[in-house]
Amino acid sequence: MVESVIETQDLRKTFGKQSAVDGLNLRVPSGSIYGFLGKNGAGKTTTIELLLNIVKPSGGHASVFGIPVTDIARSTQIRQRIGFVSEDKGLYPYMTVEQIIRFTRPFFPGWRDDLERQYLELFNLPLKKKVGELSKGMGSKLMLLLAVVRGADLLILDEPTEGLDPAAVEEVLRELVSMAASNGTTIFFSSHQLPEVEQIAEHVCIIDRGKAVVAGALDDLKAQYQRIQVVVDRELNEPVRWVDGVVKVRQEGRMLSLLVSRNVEAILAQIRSLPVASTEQFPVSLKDIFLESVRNN
Amino acid sequence: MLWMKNWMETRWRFLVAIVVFSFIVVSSYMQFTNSRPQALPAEQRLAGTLSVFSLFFVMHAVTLAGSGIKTQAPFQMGKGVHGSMHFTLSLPVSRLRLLATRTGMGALELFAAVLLGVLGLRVLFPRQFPEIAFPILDASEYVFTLFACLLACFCVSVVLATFLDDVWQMWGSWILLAAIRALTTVVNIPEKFDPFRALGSASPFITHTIPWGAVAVCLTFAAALWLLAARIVQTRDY
Repeated sequence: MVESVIETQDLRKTFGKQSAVDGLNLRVPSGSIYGFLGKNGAGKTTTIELLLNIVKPSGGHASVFGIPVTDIARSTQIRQRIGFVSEDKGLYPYMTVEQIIRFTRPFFPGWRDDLERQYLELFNLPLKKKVGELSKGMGSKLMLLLAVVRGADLLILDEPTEGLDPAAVEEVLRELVSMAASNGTTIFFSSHQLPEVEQIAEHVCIIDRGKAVVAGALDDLKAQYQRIQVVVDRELNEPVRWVDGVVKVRQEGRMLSLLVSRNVEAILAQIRSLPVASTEQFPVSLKDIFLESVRNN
Repeated sequence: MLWMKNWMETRWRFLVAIVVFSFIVVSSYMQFTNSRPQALPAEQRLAGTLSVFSLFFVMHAVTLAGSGIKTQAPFQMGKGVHGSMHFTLSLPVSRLRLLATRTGMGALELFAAVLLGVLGLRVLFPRQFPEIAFPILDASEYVFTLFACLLACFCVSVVLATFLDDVWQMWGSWILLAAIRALTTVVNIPEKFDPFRALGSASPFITHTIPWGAVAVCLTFAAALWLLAARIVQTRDY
């Protein structure tokens, strides 16, 4: 069984009466690239903040590298092995690029000088410029550099490619895949860019209203999910009570569109009992799975 | 490295504190060049003057107290300041250490401001109060007393900084300290434990001794407040 780097059980976080994370169960396998998806306000950033002990859980359990995130005495051990890019890419505006690199380096014994040089060149970062004077894209690049050159075992990246130009996005994605492949670094990243996630993630979790609604290996999910499009001879008088496995049904006139997650044969048998004119099966993209999963809720 | 970060965040506050106080001392020096003979006894006037100057020191204590573990850009809530706190919290450093280095830097700056300020007063006072001697020992004792009393004000501000932003931290500190001052006029506390008296009529410049009772009260109060701040920082969400 593959070891989990991140594990949460029934993790909960409430702010006042508002529930941001509501019984989240996650298992992020070691060495994997894990895409963490959800709409705005779904609870992605709060989950990341819980993992880093920036906010405290209201209930449940979360551990990173097998260490409970609430264990204050050992929380520095967790953070020593993590590279982090925050959603708002905030760094110290009064430091220059060179100063902030010099500031961060001593905290991480595994700091990679070779990667530092490589990323400085790749991102073309001006060493003498103040962080507060950098453009949003440059700020994102600097934060990525500070995360990846730590020699971390786990990268937690909250919208890492936000603000980057398409060429830089490609470079970053390629580097992330290479880090996971060559160093065994686990990459846990949230993104709204579904094509990016689909390009590099091996596992995904879709979160909605603080709950995981879909989770698993991306290839398995794509094999498991299908869209079945059915055209019926005449409009159905009564709604169909579908067998287990139908995630979502949309009806437009005589056309039914079903998103199914399992039990395909039984569903096809049920379709054949209807006055069907034609039936077609399509593979689905991550975008389809995402949209249908969050629409459901 | 955390010390460097904290110095970079606070150096302008420190320099402004020094410049403002120097300006006040220099302008007072010029003003008293031709001062006329006074009706009140010199020691009474000195006590009043010390109380007024101590207000400026309290102001420095409040502004130098800093920001708990929040990032503090020099006199602005600039680009990325709030977000950079998450960067700080992602470093392998305990919240306690972050608070300790931040308050440590603020306390060092406060001590330097007190030291330089009292040096300035020692230049000013012989001109203003020629009838009183200001030996170096009294000045040293005054530095110690003043710093100990200011640490209590400093720690009030440190506690408030753990959950308030810059502006409210400052106003909140002033309001709280004014309330404590008002309370000491209503509640009859023994003179030797009264910190406000220790900064005025019972200061070492007048009594030629350290007001140990008031110093002990202030240091105890400061320690209790710092522990409270540490507790808040450990348990709160950022």
